[in-house]
Amino acid sequence: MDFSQQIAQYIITGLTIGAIYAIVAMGFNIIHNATGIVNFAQCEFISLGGMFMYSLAVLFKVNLIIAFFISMAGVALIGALIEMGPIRHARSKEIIILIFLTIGLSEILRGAAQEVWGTDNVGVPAFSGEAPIHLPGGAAIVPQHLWIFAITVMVMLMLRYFFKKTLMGKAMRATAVNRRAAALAGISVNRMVLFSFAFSGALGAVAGMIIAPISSTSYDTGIMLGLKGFAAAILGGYGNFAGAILGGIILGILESLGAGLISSQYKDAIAFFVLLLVLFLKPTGIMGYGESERV
Amino acid sequence: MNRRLLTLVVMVITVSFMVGSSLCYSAEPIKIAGIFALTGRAAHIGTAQKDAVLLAIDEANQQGGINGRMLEMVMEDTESNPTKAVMALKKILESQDVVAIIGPTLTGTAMAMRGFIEKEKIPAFMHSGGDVILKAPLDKKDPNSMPKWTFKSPYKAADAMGKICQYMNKHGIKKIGFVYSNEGFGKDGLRNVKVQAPKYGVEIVAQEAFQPKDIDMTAQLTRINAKGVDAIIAWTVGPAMGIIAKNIKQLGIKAPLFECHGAGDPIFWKVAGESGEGVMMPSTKIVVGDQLPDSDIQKKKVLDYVKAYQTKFNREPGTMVAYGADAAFIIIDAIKKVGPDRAKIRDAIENTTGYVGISGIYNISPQDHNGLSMDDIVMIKATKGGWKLLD
Repeated sequence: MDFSQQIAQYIITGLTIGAIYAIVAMGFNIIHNATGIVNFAQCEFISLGGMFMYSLAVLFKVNLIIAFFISMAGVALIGALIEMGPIRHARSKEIIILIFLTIGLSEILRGAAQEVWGTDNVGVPAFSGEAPIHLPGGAAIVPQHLWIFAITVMVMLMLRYFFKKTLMGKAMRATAVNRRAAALAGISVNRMVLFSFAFSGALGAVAGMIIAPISSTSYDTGIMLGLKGFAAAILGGYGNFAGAILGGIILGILESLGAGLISSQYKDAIAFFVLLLVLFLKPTGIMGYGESERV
Repeated sequence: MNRRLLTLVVMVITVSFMVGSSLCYSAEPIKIAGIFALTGRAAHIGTAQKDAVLLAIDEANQQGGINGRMLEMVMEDTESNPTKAVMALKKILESQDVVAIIGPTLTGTAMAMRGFIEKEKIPAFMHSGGDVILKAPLDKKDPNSMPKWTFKSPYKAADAMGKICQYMNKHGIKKIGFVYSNEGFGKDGLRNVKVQAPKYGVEIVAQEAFQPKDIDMTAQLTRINAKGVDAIIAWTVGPAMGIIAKNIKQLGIKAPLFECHGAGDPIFWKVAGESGEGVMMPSTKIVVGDQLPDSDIQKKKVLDYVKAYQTKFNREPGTMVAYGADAAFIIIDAIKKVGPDRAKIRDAIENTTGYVGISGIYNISPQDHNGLSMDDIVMIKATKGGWKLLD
């Protein structure tokens, strides 16, 4: 394998991992835009997605496609329940208190998942086999990587369409820009926040499900992915959708190139060093507009 | 008179109760502490070891216990966390009268508990993979302060690595790449391979690290593959075992993959799936009992134990179940010999020689608180969801 082939492999790997980070980052962004909080239960949405998929596809032998959509709906429902219960009924609507609430919820969900599924890592079958595909540049991928790309792109396109073209999407954006004005215009803010949690749950589940066949899954796989996705969201500009994609992909490629070209021991350090550097130079993230946008 | 009679009756009854309860007292169970990683990252190992110990204790109790006294395991969970492990240990020692300790599962927890155990003077048979619990002096300033009360049942990690290198030497593998998880266990492996590989004419041409929770190691493997290696050793437990096997298939790397001595467990197939096919690793004989030659003196013991384990728990034992079983058997034997006295049990364990266990033949001595050798380890190959004994 010559050098250019190695580089191609590093970039392909980085793109795959980056795509996952991007989906996770989107989940963080949707809730942030609707409520202004950071939802740490996002990590658990990822784990739950993977574990639901495992239960349905492996334990109950449900068709993979059906299992995919049921898991997605299931985690979306959990997201919605979180909003309808603790988040909506919290006595204080202080951002910092709601954030801590999500940390607590995340612990509860993780504990429950541990009780239900135990602590073992389990595998999920790949969506269409594991025979490697050799790309022209010399890099090799497995079909699951194509699924990851395809699903990520599709999710992005659908979200874009939803937020730009549909009435509900526009209403959600309006809520993000100014809650009170949106409410005055007849938008049910509560319902928009509810949808944002459900969406974010579905997105987390998708991330957890598409990566599970590659990395296997367990009750706590979401923690690491969640934190990396959070970093990607910050890198791209918290709350910015294009930024989430960019942030995810940059982080993924940095890790992969860092491990391949510099040192595998310090690959996370390299990636996070760049993250710090970007935030130092541009505190709002690569595509962030700063606070003036949402007052 | 009547009243006197009544007093007498009451006295007789009282005395008989006292005698009765003191009889009960003498038949109180002998308690052994079992401290395992029942939750946390090593939960699958700790749970299996707990079951292994329970099975050994059940067996002893069915045979009538020790001098009429039953054995009982008092259990605590380390949560795979060194701090929690020490708390669990203190809790047991303060609330229960235990004669010996079995466990813990992980090297980190073992290191944290070791100092306390030595101070309390209670024999402990640990399942820690790392050799450091026996090799590192208790007091950093005094190189002669070796642990006296600590034993470990798994064979030495250095021997496991040696076994792989010996196998490589036999099969003409000269240049290898080493990929390890960047934490205690992985780094211990790196130190061992640097010592063992040169002994068997094997050269390490590439070494790469990854984080234990990483979901992709293709970058590291691409880099190793670019150096043109004959084989790759991956030193990690957990999901990374499977991810590496999958990544190697994905990249079309032809060099065979060797994994660590913890991989021979049903969980390997759960995380690796089809890609696990052909991965080789050192293991105890417990996973390949039926393939052992009849001349193997461990064969009967291994097969009997595996059968009992399957019957009781309805699942296959992994390689690390053997460590829990042997620790329990040796401690039970020691109590049978010398009675429930901590110091005497310690001495009896230290004098265990030629003990045919599940993990191998234990020759424990004051210099070697493990007692297994490289010959006790077998090389196995992951084949069709099971294991094949290699020669």
